[in-house]
Amino acid sequence: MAEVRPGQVEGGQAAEVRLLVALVVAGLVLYPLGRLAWESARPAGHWSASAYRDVLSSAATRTALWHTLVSSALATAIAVATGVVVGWLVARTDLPFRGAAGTLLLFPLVMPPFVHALAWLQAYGPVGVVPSLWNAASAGHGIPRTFLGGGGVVLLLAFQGLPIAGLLTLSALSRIDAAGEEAARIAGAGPLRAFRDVTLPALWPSLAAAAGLVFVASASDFGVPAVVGLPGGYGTLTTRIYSFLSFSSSTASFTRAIALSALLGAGAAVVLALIGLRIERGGAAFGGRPPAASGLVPLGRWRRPLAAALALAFVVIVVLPLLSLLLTALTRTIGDAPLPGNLTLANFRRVARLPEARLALRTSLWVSALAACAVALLGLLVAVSTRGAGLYDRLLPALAALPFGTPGTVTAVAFILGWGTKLPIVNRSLYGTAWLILLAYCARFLVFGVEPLRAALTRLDPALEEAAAAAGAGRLRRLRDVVAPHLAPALAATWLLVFLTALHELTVSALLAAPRVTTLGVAVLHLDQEGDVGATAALAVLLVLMVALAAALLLGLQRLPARREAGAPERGAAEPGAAFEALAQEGS
Amino acid sequence: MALSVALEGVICRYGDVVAVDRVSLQVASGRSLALLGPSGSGKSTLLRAIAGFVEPVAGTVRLGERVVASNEIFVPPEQRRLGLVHQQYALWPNRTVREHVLYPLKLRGVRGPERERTATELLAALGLTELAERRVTRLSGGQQQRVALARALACEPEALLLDEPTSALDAQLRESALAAIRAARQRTGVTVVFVTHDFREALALGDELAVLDRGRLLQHGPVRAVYDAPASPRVAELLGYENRLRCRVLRRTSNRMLLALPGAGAGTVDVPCTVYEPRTEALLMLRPADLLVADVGAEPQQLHATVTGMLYQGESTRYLLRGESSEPLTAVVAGPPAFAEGAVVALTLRGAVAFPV
Repeated sequence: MAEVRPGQVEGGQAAEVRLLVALVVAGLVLYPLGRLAWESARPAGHWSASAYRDVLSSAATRTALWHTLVSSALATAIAVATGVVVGWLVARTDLPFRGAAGTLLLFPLVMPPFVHALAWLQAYGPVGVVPSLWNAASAGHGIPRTFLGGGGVVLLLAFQGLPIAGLLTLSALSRIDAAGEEAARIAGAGPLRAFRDVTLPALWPSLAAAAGLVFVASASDFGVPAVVGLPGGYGTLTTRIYSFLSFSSSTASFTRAIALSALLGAGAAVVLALIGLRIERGGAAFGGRPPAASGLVPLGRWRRPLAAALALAFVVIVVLPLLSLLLTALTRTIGDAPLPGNLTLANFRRVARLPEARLALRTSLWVSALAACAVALLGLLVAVSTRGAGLYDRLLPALAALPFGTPGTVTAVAFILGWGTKLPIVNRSLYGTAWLILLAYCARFLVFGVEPLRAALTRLDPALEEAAAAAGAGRLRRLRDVVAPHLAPALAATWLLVFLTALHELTVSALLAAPRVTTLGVAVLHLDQEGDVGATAALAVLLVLMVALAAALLLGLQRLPARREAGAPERGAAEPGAAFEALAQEGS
Repeated sequence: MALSVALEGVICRYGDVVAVDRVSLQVASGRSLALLGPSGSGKSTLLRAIAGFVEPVAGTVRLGERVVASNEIFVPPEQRRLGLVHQQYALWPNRTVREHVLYPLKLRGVRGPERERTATELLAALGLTELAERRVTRLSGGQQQRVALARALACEPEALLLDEPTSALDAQLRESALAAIRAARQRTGVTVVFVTHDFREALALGDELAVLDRGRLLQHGPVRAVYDAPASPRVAELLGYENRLRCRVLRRTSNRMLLALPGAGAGTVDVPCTVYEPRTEALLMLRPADLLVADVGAEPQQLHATVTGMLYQGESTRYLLRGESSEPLTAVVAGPPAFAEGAVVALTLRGAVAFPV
């Protein structure tokens, strides 16, 4: 395996296919982002930094920038600090139910940030379920009511970042030989010292990567500041860009949105490039054996208390908010105690009759399904046409991953500029139609198709294709008879992953939505802004249920290959699959 | 200063699995003890219990007079003053060879010039002087093993623990690695406990041999004594007694007994006596080298077998044989093949151990 590059097959793919794929990817990725950079640097038709100066001269923008930096930095600090501890506990100790804890880290899959924010407010907000229960029990004495504004934003962004940091720590620790720490213990180091002297130096690159990813994801997030920040007067760069586009139609404010998006995108690119370098330079070669059962660090008398604390944290952070959301959706009036007499399905019936909700459901379903099909197809084409080791084969996948690293807000503005203007020939604009959203989703989630399929292709023994060729099968026939069956599980996983991610997408569609075009995320946000708490909760619950269903299918799919190839343990079965990790890194 | 190591009724458990079941063992100061067993026998767990990475659920572990694990006491690994060489060496990728040796000295409070001097001496003793400033990731397997050994010996441990000391090395490197360990023992006089699944390694390095299987101690004693007189068929099997023959006991004297080999007119064999009564059955076990292969001669009373396969190994030839009424047999004979497949040969037994059936 070391010498023969797996998946490299004689002949490769036809040049026309490679050219076509390159053109499509360039059109989806390079063109809109390039257009954004170009337009922002030429606000009046010539090169000038005036747009940047102009947008930064506003005090409100500078405040938003400050808020973004501070909230992201704090959220990153909290998320990485707790994520390392959780990752270490799961990877290296005899914590009870470690496997379950690792799986629960995947929770952002079914819980998009803005839904989490909504649920959080339903639980702990000023009129939340927990305060009302508390008040009923304690006759109105004290519970903090300060979850709106900056504090809430930091907290919720940190919750969102924690799984990213935890999963990265987990996978890094599973590559670092646990025996190194033992050698330090025998040499006379206590457990903490051994961790500091041996494991931490090897963990730094991953921690830096986690910090960078959480920071970019936090700074790119729109849902949390929109739901929790703005009501408390705490706006960030993403909500600022949103207000430029949504509450004004002047050219000046559009120019400002472009300039600010370009700056945000550049900032994210710098951070991601820095951690990319860091990972490449710091990746020390390790023996890479996860500890055997005998090598786990015994927690002794801390075992149960720690497990209980983690379970409690999960209940407080995830379960109670979700239950509160469900209760709010099921009660007649806000603030009612969740007693049988107060329960009703009225909110759900009302949502089902709301025109915007019906439209959103319809649009989200077909746009997500089509985007999933398109990404699966395009991902397959990219994967199949980049099996060599040349420049093209390295550049194209990197290009395909670019929009996912770009903040969603930036992608949306880039697509308005790139594909939202009047198209030649047909003489119509995609702006204000669901097609523009579809196109932006294809770009944004393209990486979900490319990476898993490329990984699956490298696992395909080239000898299988060679054997088919020797038996007389042509290129297409081989693709159909040998390659496609091998890729089927990965293709299905891609489809589901794109579908469920698109289904709860908010950031991009919030900027691309129009009066007759909306998505589930946008509809939830609008209902929330209108103050219709019951309908908001009901629609959010529906959204979570649909996403959870798709996620359950996806999890089942990931376990399938393991069951079929019993005895040959594969990554996807034993630990959270790569696709999930990618999703956890999302900064939607 | 070398210390004795003593285990008393040690039980170790992972969840519901009992990995070590009531093992009592001791090795005197300055001696070396081999823990031999197949995978899953609990030998590694036992070693980790001595090191302090596994806490026994019952029993006592003593280093010299000091109790390091018992019902009331558990001394963590860093306070046990031991040396440990992991199977894959567990070197630290970001450190140089010299830094590996300096680390334990630093933690034990050895200062300044003395620390440097000790490290330099140790590196020289293990032939690592030239490599001192290299990163360990660039070293060969044999060199890595010596670095791990140097690190383990750095602060004069009271006992040295080795986990499969040569299993990660090529056959050629094995001998030099064993020599390095023996030299280190001679220089320091340290007590050694090591784990192995290879009885040859156990014989080469051990003064004493403890054979483990499924968490239980089967036999413990001086290596030669255990090797020549395994206490049970299972121990014999683990020590390389591959061949089994069922025999009948004809008669016995005070310290020998005469057995009838299977097959009509196959002859008899005289083995060290155990306590079997005449006319009972006995299981005879032999090492491949204890089976001599010869042409079928004029003597009528011989054990005959057919050659079913052979493996020329350079210095010797390994024959697979099928006797008239026995399980398949293996014989190793010095020199190139002398018999073709299908040939009928006469077998002579050079030595064997007998067990009741």
